[in-house]
Amino acid sequence: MRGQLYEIVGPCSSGRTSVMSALLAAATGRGEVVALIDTFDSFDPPSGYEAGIDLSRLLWIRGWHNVRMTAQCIERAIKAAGLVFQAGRFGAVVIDFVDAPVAAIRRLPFTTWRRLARAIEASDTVGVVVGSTGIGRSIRSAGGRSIVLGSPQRSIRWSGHSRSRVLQGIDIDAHVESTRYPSRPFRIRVTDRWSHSLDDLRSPAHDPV
Amino acid sequence: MFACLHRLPSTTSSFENQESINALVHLAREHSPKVEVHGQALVVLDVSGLGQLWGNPREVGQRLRGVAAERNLGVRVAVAKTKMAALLATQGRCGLTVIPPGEEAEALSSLPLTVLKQLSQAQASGPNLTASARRASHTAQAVSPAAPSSVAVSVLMLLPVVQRWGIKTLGELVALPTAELFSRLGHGGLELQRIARGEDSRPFTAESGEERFEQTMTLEWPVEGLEPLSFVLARILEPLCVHLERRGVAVGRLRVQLTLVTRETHERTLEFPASVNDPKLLRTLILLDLESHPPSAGIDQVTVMADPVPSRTLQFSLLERAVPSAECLSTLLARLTVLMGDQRCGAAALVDTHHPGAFEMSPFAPKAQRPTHRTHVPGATDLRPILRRFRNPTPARVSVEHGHPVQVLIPQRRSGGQVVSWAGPWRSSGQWWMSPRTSWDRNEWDVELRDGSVYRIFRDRVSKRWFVEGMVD
Repeated sequence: MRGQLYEIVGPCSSGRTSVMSALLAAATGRGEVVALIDTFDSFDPPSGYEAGIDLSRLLWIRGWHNVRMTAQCIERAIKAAGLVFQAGRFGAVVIDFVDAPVAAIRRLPFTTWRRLARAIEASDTVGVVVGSTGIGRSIRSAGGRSIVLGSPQRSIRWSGHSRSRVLQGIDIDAHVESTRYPSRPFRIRVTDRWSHSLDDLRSPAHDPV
Repeated sequence: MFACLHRLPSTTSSFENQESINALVHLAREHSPKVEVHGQALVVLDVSGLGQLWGNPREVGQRLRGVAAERNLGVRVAVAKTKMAALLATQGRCGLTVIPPGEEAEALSSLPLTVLKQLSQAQASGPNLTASARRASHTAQAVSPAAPSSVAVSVLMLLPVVQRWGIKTLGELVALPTAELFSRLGHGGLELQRIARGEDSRPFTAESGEERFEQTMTLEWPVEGLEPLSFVLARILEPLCVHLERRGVAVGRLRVQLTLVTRETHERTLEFPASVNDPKLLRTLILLDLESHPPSAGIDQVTVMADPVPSRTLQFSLLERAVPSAECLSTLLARLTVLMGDQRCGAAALVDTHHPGAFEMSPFAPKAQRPTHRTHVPGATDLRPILRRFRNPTPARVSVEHGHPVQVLIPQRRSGGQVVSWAGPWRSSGQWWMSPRTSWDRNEWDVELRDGSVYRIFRDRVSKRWFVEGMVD
C-alpha cells in the first residue's frame, strides 16, 4: 500500500536484503524511480543488478561505515530519508538499517518515525525500513506492515559435494504483522538461480589454504 | 558605410589558416559590433559612425589595414556605401579601395566578370570558426554558408551566357539595356545587373555581439555567513533570470565569483543536469554548494555568470510514469551532497571487470519511461541471495582444519562462530599486471556459521591473511 511506512526485519542471513532487492527490482521494472539510503554503505551493485534492479533508476545514497560514528550515520540516514520523502515522485524509498545496532535504533525518538510516516502519507511512495529483529514495531506507520523474516527454522541450502559444493539458497519462514489483520505465516525460498552457471566458471583452488 | 576585409590566401597550415580566420573576425568585432561573416576569408563590418573616431572612410580603411598588418594578417580592404560594392572591390582590387557614395557602379565598371565567380567561391567556402570566434560573431545567420548577400547560384549560372555575348567587365554588363536583358534572362538577368552595379539585394543582417549573462554587486560592507548572502544573491539572480528569459534561454552552468576581503577570489561552478531559470532554485543551489565549500573570509563583491543553454520544453505524457523533475532532483542531490558528502549520492554503474564489487558512481538522471507490460520482472518473484558487502574487507581470524575453515571470528563486528557448512575454495585473481594496490589474488569460501549467518570469506594469497568480504542475506 503506497503512502505507508513498512519494515522488514530479521536476523543475519534471513533474506532481508533479498526481499529489499526484489522490491526495488519490481519497482524499477515498472519504470518507477526508487531510492536506497544505504546507512553503512553495504549495498553491492553487481548483486543488485543480478537481482533485477535497474541501477540507473536507483538513487543510491551512501553512508559511511564508521563504528565510532554509528549514531551520526543513523541520524544522517534519517535526514536523507526526510529529504527524499519531501522531494516526492519516488516509487519506493528503502532505509537500510541492517548493520545498525538495535540499541541505537531504539534510542531514536518515537516522533522520528511519525515524522517520516507523515512525510509520505498521501503520496505514491512506499517507505521501507530494513533492520534486525528487535528494532521495535514502532517504526511502521498506522497502515504499514512488518515482514518478519527468519524464524529459527530457516535453513541454508547447499548443493553438490566436496569441492563442487555451492550455496544454493535459503528457505525462510516469515510472517506479516499488522495492526488490522491477523499474522499470516508464509515461507520464502531464496534461490541463487545463477549459482550453478557462475560457480561452474569459478576455478577450484588446488592449494586451498 | 561598410568595410569589407578579405584575407589573402596563404600557404600556411590549415591550423594557422583557422587561427587567421578567427583573428579576422576578432579584428572586425573590435572595430564594430555589427559584423557579417561571408566565408573563410571574407568579413563585412558596418563602419557607420566610426568617422567621429577615426576620420573619413579612407582613414577608417587605413586603420583596419594597419591593425591587420600589426597582427600579420594580409588583407584587402574596401570601404563603400553598399556591402556588395565593398565585397566586389576586394575581389578585384589590391590594398585599400574606397568607393565614394553614389559612385559604386562607376568604380566597379572596370572589374572583370570573373570577380562574381571569385566572390561566389569565397562565400561558398563557408566559415569554419572555432567556438570563441563563433561566439564573437554570435549569429547563426552570419556564420551560415548561405550568407544574406551571397551571390545566388541561379544568377551565377547566367554568367556563361553573358560571357558568350562578349561581355567581359561589370561596366559592360551594367550598360546592357535592362528591358532587353529581362526579356532574355528574366529576373536573374536583372539581379546580375544589380550586383554588377554594386547594389545590395538584401539588408545587412548582422546581429549584436556576444551577450553576457552576468550580474555583479559590490557590497558596501563585507558579508559574512550564508544568510545575509542569500539576500544579495536574490537581488542578483532575479534580474539575471529575467534577462535570460527575455532571450529565451536558461542556465546550463553557473559560475559564482566571490571577491573576499583578503583580495582572494572564491570561485565555484555549478553544472545542472537540465536547464534552470528559477531564481529561487538557483539561489538554493548556490547556497547549498557554498555550505559545503564556504569562503574563507568576508565577501566584498559577488559576481554571478550564467552560461546560457536553450530553454527546456517539456511535453508530459499520461502514459509515462511521473519521475522527479530535473529542478527537484537538482535541489535534492545538492542537499544530499551537503549531508552525505561528495560522490556519495548518485546512480551506481557497473564496470567491465572481474574485480569483486567493482562499480562507479554516475550522475542520477532517470528518464521518464513507459510502464512495461512484462508479465515477469526479474527479481520481482524470484528471490536471490544478495551479498551485503563490507566495503573495506574486515580482517577475520579463521581456524583451518583438513583444508577448510572450521571457525571464523570477526573481532570488528563482535561476531563469528563455528563453521557448520562451507563451499569453496574458489580461486580469484586479476590485474596482476598492474600495481599491487589494484591487483588481487585470493581463495574465496562461503561459510555458514552455527548461528545461521552465511559469510563470504577469503584468504589473500599475497598477505596470507583472512578477510570477510560480506554477508549473504
